[in-house]
Amino acid sequence: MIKVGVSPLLLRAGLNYQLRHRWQAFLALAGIVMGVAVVLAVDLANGAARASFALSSAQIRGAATHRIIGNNGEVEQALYAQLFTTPGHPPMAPVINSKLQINGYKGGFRLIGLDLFAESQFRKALPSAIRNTEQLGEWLSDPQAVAISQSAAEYLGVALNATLTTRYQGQRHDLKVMIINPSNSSVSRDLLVVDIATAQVITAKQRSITYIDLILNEDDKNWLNGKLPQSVKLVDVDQQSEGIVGLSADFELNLTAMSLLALLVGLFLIFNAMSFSVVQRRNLLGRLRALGVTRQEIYRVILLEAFVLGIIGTLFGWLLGIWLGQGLTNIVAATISELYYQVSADAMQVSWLSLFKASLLGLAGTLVATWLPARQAANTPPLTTLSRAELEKFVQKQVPALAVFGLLMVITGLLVAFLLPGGVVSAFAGLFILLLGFALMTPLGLPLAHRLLSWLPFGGIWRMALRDLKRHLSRLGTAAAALMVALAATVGVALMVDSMRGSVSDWLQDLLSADLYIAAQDFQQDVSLPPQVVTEAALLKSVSALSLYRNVDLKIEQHPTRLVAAQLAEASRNGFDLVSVADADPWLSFSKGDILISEPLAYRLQLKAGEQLEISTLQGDIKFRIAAIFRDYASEHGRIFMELQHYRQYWSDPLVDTMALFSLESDGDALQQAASERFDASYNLVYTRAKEIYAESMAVFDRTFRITEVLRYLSIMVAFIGILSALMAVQLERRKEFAILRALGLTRAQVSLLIIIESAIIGLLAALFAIPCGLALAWVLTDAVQLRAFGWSMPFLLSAAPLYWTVFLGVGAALLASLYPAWQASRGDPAPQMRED
Amino acid sequence: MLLTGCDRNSSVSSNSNGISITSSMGSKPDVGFERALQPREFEFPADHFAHPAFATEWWYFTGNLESADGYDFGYQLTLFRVGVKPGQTADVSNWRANQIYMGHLAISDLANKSHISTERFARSAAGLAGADQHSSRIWLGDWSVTGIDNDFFPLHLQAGTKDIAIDLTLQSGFKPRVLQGDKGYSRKGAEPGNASFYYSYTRLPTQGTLRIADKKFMVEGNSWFDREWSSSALAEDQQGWDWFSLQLEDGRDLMFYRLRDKQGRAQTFSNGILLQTDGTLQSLSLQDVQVKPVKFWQSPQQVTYPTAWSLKIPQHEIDLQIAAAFEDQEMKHTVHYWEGAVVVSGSHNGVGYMELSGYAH
Repeated sequence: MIKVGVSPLLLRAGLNYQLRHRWQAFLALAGIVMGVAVVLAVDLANGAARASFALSSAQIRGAATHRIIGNNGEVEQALYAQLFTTPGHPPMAPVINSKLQINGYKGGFRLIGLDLFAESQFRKALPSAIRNTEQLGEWLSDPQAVAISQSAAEYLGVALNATLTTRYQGQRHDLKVMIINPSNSSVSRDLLVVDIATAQVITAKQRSITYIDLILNEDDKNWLNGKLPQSVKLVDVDQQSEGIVGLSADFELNLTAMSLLALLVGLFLIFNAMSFSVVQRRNLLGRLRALGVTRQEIYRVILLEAFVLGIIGTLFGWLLGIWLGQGLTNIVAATISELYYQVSADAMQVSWLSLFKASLLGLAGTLVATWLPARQAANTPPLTTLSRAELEKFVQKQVPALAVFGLLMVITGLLVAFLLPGGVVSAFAGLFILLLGFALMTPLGLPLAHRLLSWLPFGGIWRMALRDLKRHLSRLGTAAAALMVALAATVGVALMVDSMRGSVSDWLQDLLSADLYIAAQDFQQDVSLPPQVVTEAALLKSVSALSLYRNVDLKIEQHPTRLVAAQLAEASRNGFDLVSVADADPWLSFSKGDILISEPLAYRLQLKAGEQLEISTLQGDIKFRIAAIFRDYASEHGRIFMELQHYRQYWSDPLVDTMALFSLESDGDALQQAASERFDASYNLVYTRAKEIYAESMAVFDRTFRITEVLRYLSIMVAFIGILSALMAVQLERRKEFAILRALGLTRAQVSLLIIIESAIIGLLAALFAIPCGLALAWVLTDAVQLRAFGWSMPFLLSAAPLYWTVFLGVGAALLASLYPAWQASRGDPAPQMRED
Repeated sequence: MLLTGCDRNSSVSSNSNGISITSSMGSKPDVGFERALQPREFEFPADHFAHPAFATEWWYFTGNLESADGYDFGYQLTLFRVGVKPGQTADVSNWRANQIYMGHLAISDLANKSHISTERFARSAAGLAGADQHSSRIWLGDWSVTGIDNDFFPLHLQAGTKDIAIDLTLQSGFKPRVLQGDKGYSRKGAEPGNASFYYSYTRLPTQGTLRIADKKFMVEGNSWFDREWSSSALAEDQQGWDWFSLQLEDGRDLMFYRLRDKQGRAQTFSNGILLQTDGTLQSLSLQDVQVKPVKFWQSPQQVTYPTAWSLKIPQHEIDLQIAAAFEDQEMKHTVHYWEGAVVVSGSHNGVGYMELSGYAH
């Protein structure tokens, strides 16, 4: 389409121009390369995480179509035996599936306990690995026997008969590698397969398993009808894994949008470089027009130049993107594992689809960004009837209209982000519109700065610099806009993260009001406190109040949801920030059996206080009234608080995981001393202070946002290169002008100063525009994007540091960018420079 | 039916279950298991149930049945117990097992010459499989042999898959229990302990239903029930055996097993019984019986089985032609053998079951 009607001569002229202005071309390329690279890297990392999950869940589920899961996360093994011995049962296999640590290795491993004999129709790997009777006997009776894959053996650096020291909730279990399956699949790298008896011992499950896998057809479903107790549920495995993958969809979308932000900044650089090259070539283009070259031809040749740059940039973008993607894959996998579900940080696969998507974005973006400059170029009148001065006057007239249009876009962007339904997508769409609006407003800053700064009582070079701002508006305007976009994007993300961190920190401090927390061994599930500790703790010296907690993982509409059964002291209740309540005294309703649900859960299920939530209990599905919704950043899946007595009624579970103690003197040390005198070391208790939990929680928060931080630094890099390229291009282009100034008698220092002052003003200006723009972006990110992605509402807390940073970055980069042009302008004999192009 | 129900030469297949258990019934004497060294006093009903101190044990049912509308069927239901490790487990998890159960189920549809068989396994733990005197039941998942009375008989056999199923009641009938060999002590080789405890019920009146795919048949006929346990194996020079359980029309029942050496010759430990209508028992040794194959059949798996035999017992004026009801009654599972219904003609007519082992290489 573009090839048509461009004479080779014209094209060569165009490309020659780019070659002669290597600096400019290089900097335009940098924009494309960085933009494409970041988009590609994020896409590859997301893809790797998804592929890893799909493969490992396919491997774990095997041929299962359905699954019987327990309402309390476990299934009584008696149910399996009962079904298995009932005539006509469908193929079924018992599974214990749990996380586990191996000493000396980072990250979690997955422990899968299987019954070899039930496996043949589900997962072939284990049955086909058993070679003979001796091995069968060993597999069944040796409580240490474990099967791992070849990839796991390589990862762990172990051979047959090696011992793996594992830890499950602090308990040590030695396993001996008995089988190494030839599978090289990296997804089986973190799988430890053991006999179901071994898994039961390790996970300390008393007569229970995690779930029962089934292969069902319609008849089998009828057969199952009426055979399942109320404490379990039959689920479709496809739906279950879709639900799990769906958990991270918004997180991935978030990352993609962030990467698009980096691309947008990159595209601004291309736009800047191309507009600049057009403005710079006005004379040449005019002459060409006079020689009979049509508008169409000029239009096409500019687009084609950009296209060639786009292709080169995209190719380099691939290389950088693949390299970056490898790093991001680890971070994304770690974050997804922490937040959503276990994935292994695999060797990333470079998919053609990802390359294609990133290339399409890079090339299409390049063409879109060049469209306006190309049209400008095509509209160049024959000969240079329009002088440079007149061009600038024309541009000056256009700038206010552009700014008004920009303002309208900003308003539209905000409306789209906050009012349009459409989840995270519309929030991000609004964000991009807003950013473009601000970019359009930025050039107006130059004449404004000229007017304002002229009042300052400086003379000479200062005044020359100010006049330049206005005189070179056509060039400096776009440079300033590009700079602004780059800066705003980074400051927006930084403000968002700081604001969230602040909110989480405040929330934690309110919540962690007790003087001492007691748990068994670890703050993990399934490790409960000895009953004696629970009953006797209240009698300890100096205990004024105490709260008890029991954590259970539930599934609410396929999503993992944490149920916290709690007996809450007055002080603990005060730590809750109830964002909406159904009654005047929600705590009274709570003690009568109503529940409290967290904001993310309410947002996800569109529930309001006063409505009901159905929960699968061991007594069947029960509807609970919601007394209040509380602010909660503990889990984006949502949490439910229920009064401990009511929980026990429905789950017949007397255990307590954690205890929070209060003393009148707020003396944690005294409490701990009293507790440890009463309960000796054999109780295996762990004492924790609020500040330790606080530090641990904030560390988790920081790990969660590490990927955002990485993207932010990437954006800063793109921004920095952007500033450098925009300014350097402008100043380098003016070499001839500076030479004339020197010929007219300005000293080298004066010329350098002129360049440096101009650059600094532009940097400052862009930073000043970036601050309101960044604030608006942060506002949209915090209150629209995060709410829609995670269901978190949070007060927007402003932190000053990112604002200083922006000014520093803008001005600093601008000054750095001016060094080379300043050095060059002041160097050597001005005469040859004057003769240049 | 011989102790070494699955010998070392049984080929290994993995068509129904991916597990390859070569010689799952122990090709070598299992260290740590008790051995059958001398005759013992049987105790019933206790001896109907498991003897976990021994490595191998089975409950072996075969029978020829006829449907109300005149169709002939054969069936086989076998529950094998295999001790994979001697001794009791001492584990907090009750999934831990030293014993596993293997089940074989087959139906031969004589009219359609169709033989459908299936295999399954389960550990003897967590209630999945076992033999329990208290509930008078031997079971492997939903396959079970249940004694209806305290006396064990009548027995209820229930087993099935999507393709085939049996639901049969076996009465004790009029024939006494037969203690094979020396009062139930059955020697299989020269080496001490290379023997089993072995008793049979040769003619159990049977009634119930068979199902092939979706078709159900009301059936009637007689079953043969073998019980055997040991910790023994075929000797080095033994290749396999040919086993016949025949119910003659004159009311007599005949069992003979022919142990073969590597050259295919019958060995002296070959043995059998002839049970008269009145319950009198004559034991048969190799000298008493002239048995030889008369026809061979090559299976789709390229295994050649002798599917027709001549069996003569001159002192009892017995001269029988034994022929497979149809040829393809091969069991292609973890253990590879031929087991199927046979038709008896010659001096006496009758029906029966034949087992040919050690032919698949």
